[in-house]
Amino acid sequence: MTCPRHSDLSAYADDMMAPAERARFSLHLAGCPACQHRLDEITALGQSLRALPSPRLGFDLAAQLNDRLHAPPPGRRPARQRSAWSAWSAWLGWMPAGLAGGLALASGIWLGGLLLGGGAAMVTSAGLVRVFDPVPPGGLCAAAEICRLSKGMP
Amino acid sequence: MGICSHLDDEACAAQAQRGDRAAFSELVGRFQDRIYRFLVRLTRSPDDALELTQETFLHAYQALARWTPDARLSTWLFRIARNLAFDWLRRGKRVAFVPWDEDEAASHPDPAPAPDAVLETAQRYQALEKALARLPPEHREILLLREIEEMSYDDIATVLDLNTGTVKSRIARARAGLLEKMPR
Repeated sequence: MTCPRHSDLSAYADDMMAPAERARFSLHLAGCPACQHRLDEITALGQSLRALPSPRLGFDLAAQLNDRLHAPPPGRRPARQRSAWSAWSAWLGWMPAGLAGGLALASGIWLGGLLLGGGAAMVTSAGLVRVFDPVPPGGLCAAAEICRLSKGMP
Repeated sequence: MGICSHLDDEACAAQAQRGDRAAFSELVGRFQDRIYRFLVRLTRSPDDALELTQETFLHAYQALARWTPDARLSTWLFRIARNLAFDWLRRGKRVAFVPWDEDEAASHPDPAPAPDAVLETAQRYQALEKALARLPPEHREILLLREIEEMSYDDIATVLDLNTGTVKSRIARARAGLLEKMPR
């Protein structure tokens, strides 16, 4: 028999072979120091791994998880509670858009009032006349006729 | 004495499925150290292993209704733990290797050994842990399940969702890889 593959030696070490196959392997191992050495290495490796110090948690995890375990699982929140929160979220989500819309509407009304005329527009037009007065406020009039004419004086 | 301390894992899990919270706590107590040690060696990070151990039991609690008694509870729990650990590894949360057990290795000597033997044992443990840490996670996990958790090939196949032929060849490759990395 030729030397077995490493995977077969590994399965042999784990006793994961059919009895007939295992018997043939045993015969080969008895006469093959190289395979026997390889098998000893695999066996020793397993013993060393099992002998490693085992890390432990060192406390009662169940007690620590108690609150989280007994809380309702996520996604199973009562329907009414979730819908109330959803309604609030929806209102809060639309609030900035509502404010912006309201401001835009108010400024539109104000500007429209200025253009089409109204109480505020009348007051402003009197002021405008003064701006186009040929004599600045407080200035001296160079020609009395002109000043009287522009101010509607006789 | 726990409410199902006299029952095997599967019977206790069936009781937990019926809403018995104490039965689930009993199962957490039975498996917490096994799951934790598997995750510590898989992730190489004790803090993350602790977090993943908690997540494993929370996931198990939430999925308990889907567990069926034809699956061994231990393989089911290890499968959850393993999947969480690999999600964690894929997210790149790996940390630099820290030999967590240097002190612990020295504190677990053989019974009444000579001082030289204590040092030699500690060094052997340390060398083995370092070699294990250098294996690819797929090789590390299968060796942990086989050598430390002492699972059968069939159980490992269930945990890792592989066929038994792949389990056999992967265990052999993992062993060869670890032997190569061990100091001579």
